[in-house]
Amino acid sequence: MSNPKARTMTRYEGRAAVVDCLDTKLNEELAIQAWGDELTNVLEALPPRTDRLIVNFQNVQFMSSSALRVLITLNTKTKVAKIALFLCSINPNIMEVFKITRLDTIFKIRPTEVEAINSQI
Amino acid sequence: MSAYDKMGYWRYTKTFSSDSRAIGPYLDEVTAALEKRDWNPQDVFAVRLALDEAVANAIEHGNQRDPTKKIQATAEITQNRALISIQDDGGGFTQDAVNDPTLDENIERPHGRGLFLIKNFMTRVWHNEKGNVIYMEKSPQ
Repeated sequence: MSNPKARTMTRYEGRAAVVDCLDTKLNEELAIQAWGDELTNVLEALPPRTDRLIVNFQNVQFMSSSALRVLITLNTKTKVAKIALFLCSINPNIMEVFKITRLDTIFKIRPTEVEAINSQI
Repeated sequence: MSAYDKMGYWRYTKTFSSDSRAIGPYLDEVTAALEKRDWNPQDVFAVRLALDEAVANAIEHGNQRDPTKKIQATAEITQNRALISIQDDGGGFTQDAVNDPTLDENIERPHGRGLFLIKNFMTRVWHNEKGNVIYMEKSPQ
């Protein structure tokens, strides 16, 4: 049996865990569920002294509200774990989704990964 | 299924089972039809998002994830207009049941953004009387 396709790749930069989203489209239900499970697994296995989780959307061109659900749930879990959640490199069309839904007011969104790494918590 | 191209007019109807995996190729076909007619990327994104959200609502709320129930999608596209309809086999939909997801008390709720996004990204949105068909119209900006 083959391994399921990985939806993310995680790197560690100082005190930050950076999760790259590998899919270009985040809208298919089972793929989003797998993506959400991977994000949760990263959060639950963070090395000591990690203070932030950065989700990098550089590859993502399309996202539906199902993906927003995953991020809202992840946001709640990071608050409980006392880890800062940052989103970065979101394309302008997807950013419009965050603005229209006002989710840009609850997430820490930065234009670039470097800015997310260097942001004050 | 019908798909034809005549004087820039394109119409495509397809019937799906209540499975989100089935919609992907249809979304790609509609996206390609818009791009072929020189729609700008923002408007292509808007139509694709609305179509995706409407199908997700039809599967979850309309057909209650019943795999024996069907969804019919129809797209009519020209350079100046896209008209999309999504029909499910459910009992219908009541607009009054939908909360505003941008209110402070709702903003961290995981669900309830699909129809809100459709209305914000499309030019005009309406339902049939029964509430099991959504019509979504977009004029490119």
